[in-house]
Amino acid sequence: MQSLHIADAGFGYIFKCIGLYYEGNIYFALYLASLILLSVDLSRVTGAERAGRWKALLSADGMTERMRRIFLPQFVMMILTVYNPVFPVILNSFFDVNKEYYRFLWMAPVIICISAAAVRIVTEYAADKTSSRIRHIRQAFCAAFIICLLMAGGTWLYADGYIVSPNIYHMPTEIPEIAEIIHEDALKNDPADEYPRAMFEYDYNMLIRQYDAGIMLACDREAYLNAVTGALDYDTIMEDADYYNRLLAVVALGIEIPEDAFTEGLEETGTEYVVVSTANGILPYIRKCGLTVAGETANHTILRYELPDYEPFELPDYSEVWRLSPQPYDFLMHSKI
Amino acid sequence: MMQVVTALTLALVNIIIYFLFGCVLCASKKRELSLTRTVFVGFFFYYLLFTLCCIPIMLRWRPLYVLARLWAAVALAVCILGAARGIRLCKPAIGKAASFIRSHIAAFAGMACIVAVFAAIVLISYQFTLDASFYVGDVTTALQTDTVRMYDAFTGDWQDHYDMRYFFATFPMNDAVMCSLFRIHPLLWCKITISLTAILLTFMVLYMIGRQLYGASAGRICLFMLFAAVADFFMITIYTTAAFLTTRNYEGKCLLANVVLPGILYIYIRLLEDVKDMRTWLLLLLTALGSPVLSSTSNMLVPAMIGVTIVPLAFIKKDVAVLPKAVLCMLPGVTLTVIYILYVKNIIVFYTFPR
Repeated sequence: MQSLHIADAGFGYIFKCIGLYYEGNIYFALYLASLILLSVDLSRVTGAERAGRWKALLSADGMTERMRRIFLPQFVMMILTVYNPVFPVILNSFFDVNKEYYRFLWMAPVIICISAAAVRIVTEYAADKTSSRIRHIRQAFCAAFIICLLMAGGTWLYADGYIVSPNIYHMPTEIPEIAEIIHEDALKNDPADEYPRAMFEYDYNMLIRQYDAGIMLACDREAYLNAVTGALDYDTIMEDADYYNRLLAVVALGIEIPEDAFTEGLEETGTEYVVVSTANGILPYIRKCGLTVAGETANHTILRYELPDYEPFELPDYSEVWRLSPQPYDFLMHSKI
Repeated sequence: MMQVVTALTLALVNIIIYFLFGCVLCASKKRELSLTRTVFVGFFFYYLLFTLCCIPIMLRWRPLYVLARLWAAVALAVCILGAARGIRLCKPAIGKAASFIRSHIAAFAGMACIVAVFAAIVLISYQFTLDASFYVGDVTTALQTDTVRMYDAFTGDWQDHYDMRYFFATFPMNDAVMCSLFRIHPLLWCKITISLTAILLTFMVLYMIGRQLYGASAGRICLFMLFAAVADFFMITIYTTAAFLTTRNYEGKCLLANVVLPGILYIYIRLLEDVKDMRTWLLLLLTALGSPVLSSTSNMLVPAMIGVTIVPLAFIKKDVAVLPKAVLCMLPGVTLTVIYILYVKNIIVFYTFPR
């Protein structure tokens, strides 16, 4: 959870964490309700006049007792530890768990518990001693109602639309085209340039190396996230360090920094290629900085910058260590989509 | 199309390999072989053995193809041993399973439909997730450079030391090895084969828990899986276990959240029945040993899960002997966490070159 910090939220952290974890759905409430439902034998509660209500609540048949033993102890332990407001504060004083604390919430078997409670409702409470046909209809309606509740109480995974993968690689089709253009152009200019470095817009920067690790990137994921989340200010961009910030300013944020500062960024990071959407308004500025078009795809323009004194990246030589053939593994890395 | 069929088939091959690995440990004349439990055991045994092969390769800076050949030899040997040990026991186990399925054919058809529809919806969809840039990128980088974790998966730059956060979580390196052995593109392997494997294993663990909860009542198990499948599509924020199962199912974290942690709950249910069953305790230990390979988050979560799940068992069963066993099972994760802390404090560094 990038936006939530234990030091800021203090003892309220766990509540905010649970709030974000279950944001927009009622599954935590369903989990609590399911725990109660599985731990209490409702048939005894309804007929509790004779036994006394509390006693009836606590008494249980074999199945209820079993469910109680399975799900309740873990929940009690979770209340004492993971859900305890003090616990994340103490833990954070030893380790930085700001980003990862939410993973402790995985330990609660929410879906299993809800499903078990739902099965109990359908198979025990919706089934009475009426005829088999009526019982099955009641059970079917009950199951349908629970499914509707699960659907209405949550957020549909494809609420923003179900996108069918454009190909078997689950990649935009332009990715391999761009990779091919970059490699062809790089090898045309220097046959030793097997690992050209490039800068992409946000999503393509995250995707390109999944398809083709022969293309190196100017900046990593964290730097990109810093830029797009607004953590990058102008002074930092213009510092004579972390020159990739200048590329991020232009490509990710669309800021027109002084042209020589941008080209210095390209030179210092050894970035030969910049790939942006053809519709991106920053494209004329990039061309003005001296980059030339190396190729185009349907929606993207690949620009090349002539790096002065460029030396192609080579894999470090491990031949002495390996004592075996250091030849790269013959692998179909650049198969066409 | 042929590539998709191959990728889908490889998911079944994965399950068979896990089963054969499981046979090595589970096959015993004294006990009936459980098909699902054997796959579950084999899954952890597989990754434990893999990491035992992978780490020396990393520490001696050997190339990926050496690891691939070593693993091919080890896996083949274990599979042959598993087949030899399990072949006699498999027949009655399969016969029994087939008979159980035949007697509950409608329920099992329902379960098969649930899993198939779930897998189809997830596998056909396109998902953009940030972390794939590391987890899939790590596989392509290893294959491209023929090295094991020597390069930054994000940028491709050479690293002078291994990132200890991922050092023991060699799951992506297994992906790289399998890609090179089966000659399949990492994107196909990760986004089809491993995704399907993760979905199958998740539903298998749900089935195992269902069997524990409802015994031979296959109809109830089917209903249980149906509700779980629906919830998995709707309990969605970027943090939930369901989101990992549906969008990031090629990551070790998905297996941790949807197979390992529910698996520990399953082990707990079995221990509730018989707290002295050493085989179940050994299964817990194997889970604790095998899960750090999937994700470094296991180092934190598995001991914690054992703590909150198994420790109450000592009170329920009024048996203090549970506690040292639980602590023993927490040790692998705790030890790796300590190693990571030593790395963060610059006390332990493993370089990617001889110094």
